Order: sequence, then structure tokens, then C-alpha cells
Amino acid sequence: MSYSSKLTIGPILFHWPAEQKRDFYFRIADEVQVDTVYIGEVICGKRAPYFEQHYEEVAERLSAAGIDVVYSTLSEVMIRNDRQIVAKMCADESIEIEANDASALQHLVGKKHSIGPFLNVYNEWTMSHLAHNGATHITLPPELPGEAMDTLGDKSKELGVTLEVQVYGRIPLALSARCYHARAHDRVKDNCQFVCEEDPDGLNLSTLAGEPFLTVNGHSDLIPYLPEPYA
Amino acid sequence: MSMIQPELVCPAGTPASLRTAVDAGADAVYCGFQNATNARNFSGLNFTTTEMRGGVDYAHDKGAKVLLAINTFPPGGKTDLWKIAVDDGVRFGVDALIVADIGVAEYASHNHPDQRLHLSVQAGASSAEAIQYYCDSFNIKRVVLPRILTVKEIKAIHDEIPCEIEAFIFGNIGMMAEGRCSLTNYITGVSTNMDDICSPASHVKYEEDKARNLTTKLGDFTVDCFNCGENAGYPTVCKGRYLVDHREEPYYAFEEPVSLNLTSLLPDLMQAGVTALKIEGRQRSRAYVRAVVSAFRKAVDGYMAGENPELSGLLALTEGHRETSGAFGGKRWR
Repeated sequence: MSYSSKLTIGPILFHWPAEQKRDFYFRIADEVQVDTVYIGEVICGKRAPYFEQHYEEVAERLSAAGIDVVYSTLSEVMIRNDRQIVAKMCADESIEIEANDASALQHLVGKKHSIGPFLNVYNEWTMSHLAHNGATHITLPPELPGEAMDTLGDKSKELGVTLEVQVYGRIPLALSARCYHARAHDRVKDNCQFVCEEDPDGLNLSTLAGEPFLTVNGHSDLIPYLPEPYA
Repeated sequence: MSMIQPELVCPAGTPASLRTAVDAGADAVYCGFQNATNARNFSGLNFTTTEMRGGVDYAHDKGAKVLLAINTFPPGGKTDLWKIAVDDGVRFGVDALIVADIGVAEYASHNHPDQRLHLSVQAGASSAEAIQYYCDSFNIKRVVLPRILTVKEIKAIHDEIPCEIEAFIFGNIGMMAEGRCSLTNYITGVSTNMDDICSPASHVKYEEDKARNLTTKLGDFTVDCFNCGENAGYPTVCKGRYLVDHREEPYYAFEEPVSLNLTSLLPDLMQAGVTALKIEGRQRSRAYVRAVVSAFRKAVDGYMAGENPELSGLLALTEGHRETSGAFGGKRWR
């Protein structure tokens, strides 16, 4: 039996200038055939305000092209600013939200929403709990083994939940409270001066033996290159 | 401001360590079963069911509590192991289950509504809303906070949430958000969240060249390199040295090999509303457990009696004899 899978584009993980980001989404609307695009800052609450003014026009343009728009919430929510960003996004009844941490879940109980890859959904118990709280679509963590995915696939049909997995692109590997981008420039998060904007594809670390190792992006780390089958 | 007598929560990697910690003055010990259900699944560590039952009896006889860590994320189709761990823990009369996975929390709270539940640091609940979500959903009684908040932020969270706060005060300091790090999986194929191991010893290599420089590797990746005069650390990804284009020298991209030591902040933490002080180190020796637990017992009792206890001896027990107050000390750590 075959299913017709939908194609989605995940949120931009890097800090690009707001206009560049806006134009990127305009091009997606004009040139790319996808079903859903996730917008919203998922990495750093300090970056978030820059793009806020463009959400509406980007969402309108994508919608007009027949693309569903989902707003992704921050993956790590800690300080007041982060909390306010998530609360504001979740309070907007007119948009669809992808929750990426438990603070977003708290705002979304009883409302229809999606679950993002930064929220740990490893098993059918967790999936059932989230579905009962209003989750209708779940993106599974990249490290979930295929066997577990089969089990979750069966469970999702029973619950009426749709599933999503990342099939292409660099994989987010870890989150931290510390900004490694700022650290690489002998700064700290509070005085980062948005140095991450200098690296539109992240900052590559290599080992002392010279092997490419990880890409730093604010306080998250990603696999630095595409995994074998796609490289 | 008055302080509540905090609970000193100590690591028990083995039944012998449990007895050592209890005898040294632990108010509570935390431990796990010998399988994937707990986040310190090292070989030679942890408890069989018989040992767990015995450990609970020993601790309870001496007035100490046992907190059972079932704080990993069961992969789909394999939840039975976690179900058994929860049921066994309840049957053995542990004082609390420490859970991280939403599904495990749901199973425990639904099937054992009277069992006290704590939210593991592995759940990574770092805001009042996130903690409230777990409290509302699973009747969580205590949250173990991620090691990413300042004391001031902890105080603010305390004022907004309905449960107790447990905070780490001593031991290893992981740099990545707990429960949200797949670095070990990327490098070794073993998952911290599911298989419960960070930087497993089975994938560690030490290679010495002719000039006696020592390279430490995890999997196939070089994590650090030491000259003969230097002390080689255990190769954990987030304590390694790496290269980046704009810096001439290798640098500790994430953190230096340091340990968390909050002795100087203890009174502040207690005043901020932290009611349980946690010592990391279930993989540590009994001698270590005895020394650290005794020192903190004295310190906590001293502070409660209004004294200013001497704690400099603890530095000798930190990794590489270097310490940090991490995020707790202020925002400049981030």
C-alpha cells in the first residue's frame, strides 16, 4: 500500500538578515512546489524580533501559492523574553503552531497543534498523551530507530495523527544554554552582537586532526555535512 | 529570610555506594536499575531488583529516602522495560520516581496515582510554563532543574510553580541541554536518550605518538591532544578542543574540563527556594561519595546553624581540580 507523502520545508535554523529571509520565502512561494513551510525562529530568542514584522507578508504570499504555513516555536525557552515570544505566538488563534518545547504545550492544551522535532516523542505512550492534548501532527526526532518508527506509524493511524520525518539536510544534534557562536568570538550570549549573522550556514568546527566535525549555530550544534546517501 | 532545611540528594551507583552515601549523611539517594531505563547505564553500575529492594530497606531503616531514576526515553514498541521498572519501583516502596519521558510520566501517574513523581533534569524543563505543564499533567511534586539557570532565575521560577525544586550543586557539568543532545549518537551510534550513555568508554581510544603526545578519541573523532606534561582528560565531546577558521589555536568550543561546584552559592540557592541539593556522580567511587557527601552534610548543617563552613577541600575532588559555578553564578556563563 502506498501513501501520498507531503513535502515540507523546515524553519531556517540560521540567523539571516530579515530581508534575505523574507525574499527566500517569497522565492519558495513563487518557485517551489511544497505542501507546508515552517516559519518562526526555533534557535534563539534574541534573533526572533528581527523577522516578526515580516511574518504576515510571508505567510500571505505562501498561502496565496497554496502552501500551508506553520509557525514553529523556540526550542529552548528560559528567560522572560523567550517566554513572551512563545506565549504571544501561541495566543494567536489565527495561525497554526508547531510546539518545540513543553512551555508551548502548556499554552496549547486543548487546541489543535503540531509537535516539532525538538520535543522528545520516542514512543506510543508519549504520542497518545500529546494527541489527547490536541496534537494532530508530529515530527519525530531524527535519532529514532526505524523499528520504533514503525510502531509509532501504526499508533498514529489509530490516533488520527500525521507523522513527519526529516529526510534531507543537516540534522540538529544538541541544544545548550550557552551560545557557542558568541564563545568562538570570546563573547557571551548577552553581548553577542549577533555575530552568528556572519555565518549564514553556521560556523564549522573541525577536530585537531583536521576532520570536519560539527557546525555551531548559536547555542545549537548540527552535523556539518549531509549524511552519506545525500552527500 | 528564613531557610527551609534542604534535602541532600546523593548518588548511589551501586548498593555499596548507597550504604556509603546514607551512612555519610545523605537525606536521599538516587539510583537506577541495571538496564536502559536510567540515564547512567554504565557496566558494573546500578541495581538488580533484589539489590533495589535491599537498598530501599537499608535507606529507610536509617531514615533516608530512595529516589529511583527511570529517566530515559523508551523507543516505540519497547516500553515494557520501563513499565516493569516503574511497577517494581512502586512495589519496592521507593520514595519517588524520577521520570523524563512524557509517556513514562503518563504511565506512572495513571497506574500509580499515589506514587510521588519527580521530573528529571533529562526532561529539560527550563521555564515556569514547561514545569507547570508537567505538574498539571502528571502531578509532578519536584522538578530537577537543568544546569542552565542563574540563582536569580531559579528564584523567579520558584515563585511561579507549584512544586519543589532540586538543583545540582556538585559534580560533572554537561554543556548541552539534558535530554536534547544526540552528539554521542552521531559519533558512536549509541543514543544518550535511549541507551542512556554519554561518551561511552567502549568507544574511547587513547593514542600516543613518538613524541609522547596523547590523542584522545571518541569513535573516530579526535576530541583532544595533550603534550606529555599535560593531564589527559576523558574524551567527552563538550569538553574537547577544536579548530575554527578564524582562530589560530585550538580552543574549548563548548567548555573546558571543569566541574560544577556551588559551595559558595549554597546559602543563595537555599534562599532562592531550592529544597533539594543534588550531588552528581553515580559512576564515582565509594571513597568519592563518602568524601563529598560528608562535606556537604557538614556544610548544609553549618549554614542552617548560621555558621560559615569551610569547604575548600572539595576542590581536590573536582575534574582536573578545576571548578566553575556554571550558569548559577550569573548570565556571563552563557
